[in-house]
Amino acid sequence: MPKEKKKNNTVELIARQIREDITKSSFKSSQHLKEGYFVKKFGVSRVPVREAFRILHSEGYIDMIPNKGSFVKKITKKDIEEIALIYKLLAPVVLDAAIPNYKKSTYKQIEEIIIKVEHCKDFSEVGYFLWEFAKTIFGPSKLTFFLELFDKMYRNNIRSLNEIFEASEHKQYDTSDHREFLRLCKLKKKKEAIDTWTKHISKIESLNLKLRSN
Amino acid sequence: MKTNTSVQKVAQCLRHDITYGNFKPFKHLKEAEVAKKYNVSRVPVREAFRMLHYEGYLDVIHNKGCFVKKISNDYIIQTATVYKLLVPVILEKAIPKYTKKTFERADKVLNKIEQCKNFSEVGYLIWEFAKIIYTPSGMPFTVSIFDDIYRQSVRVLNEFFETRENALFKVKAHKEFIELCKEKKTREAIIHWTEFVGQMETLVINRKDFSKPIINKAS
Repeated sequence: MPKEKKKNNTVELIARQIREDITKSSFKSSQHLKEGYFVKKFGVSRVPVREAFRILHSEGYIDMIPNKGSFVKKITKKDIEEIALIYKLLAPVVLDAAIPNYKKSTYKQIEEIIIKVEHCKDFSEVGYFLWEFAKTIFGPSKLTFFLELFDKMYRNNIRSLNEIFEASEHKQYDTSDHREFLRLCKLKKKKEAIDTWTKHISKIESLNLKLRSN
Repeated sequence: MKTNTSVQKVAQCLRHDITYGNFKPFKHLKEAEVAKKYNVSRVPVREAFRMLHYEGYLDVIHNKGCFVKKISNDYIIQTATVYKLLVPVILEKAIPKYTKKTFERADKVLNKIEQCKNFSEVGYLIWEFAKIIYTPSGMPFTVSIFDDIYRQSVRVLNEFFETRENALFKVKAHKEFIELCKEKKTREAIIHWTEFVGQMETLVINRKDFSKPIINKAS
């Protein structure tokens, strides 16, 4: 879970508020976010505001441009398509190496994370749970370079995952693909499991594209 | 790379000592010892360590220090796998967007590589070439993955070209790739480049082959 949260509550409070404002479009794409505004609004020094910006930057919420400041990141159709394309190319390779290494404990871990996602009520946490899910299913591949790459990909897309959750009906993230993936892995149906995951990536891509077109 | 000259000097010496096995893999490099050996203060040594860590020469372990890194074949195979999967996708988008300027810049870097006599610069020049051919794709995330791959490979590329019989780097495959692009033969260019990457991978993994002439046996 986000370590930042335990480290500093003020930072997380500010980050949470900005996430919400971006998701609900109170702050528009490309809008300039000024440190001074948040310093006044939260009655804090510049230090926690800057730290919150850093977190939001790593999660894909804002762009930080040297000597210019921080801006709400504009997510384009092209960005979404690029990530999905890369993910669909690389995921089968990693899963092919990972699935045969799953143990009883892996299944248990996967199951636990699915439950966490299903019970999650806080939209700014769901992205981190889904990242944790990805780490659990890809980790046993021991393909360190791929894993670093996926980490980077998930970290930069926490925002998209959060927003899909926020836009979902009854504020419930759909875990049917995750459960189906787990079921097939337990049955040793590797090929079908990989197919399920690849289709899931396409599904997320189209949800994401739909979200951006509104 | 224009940085402080004593930093460059230390970095150069370290690269040389690592490449030629004077410093073996896993050797603990101590700031004070290195400073004494090269007759400099500790400040540039620290900076050189940082640089070499970035290039994949050293492991920096928190609270323990710097160690000569052992390049693992497993890691090379993984980066090559990612590279080979992504190359066709990115080049397909990039090649149609090449302009006269792209070709000019590519030719310039290739000339620089051909004339380069300092093995610790080759890795950076090859990385520069990669940026020129991949950036026009308009795929920033994929470009950043390639950056990660090249950054980690600066050492491998340096050592590859240093330990070859002819220390001057041949850029035949690169030139052929550029020629095919100029002729708008996108598909052929992609196939050519992917094959070249595969050959490089094999050569790097079979390090004993380093002394043999590079690829393109047919020519």
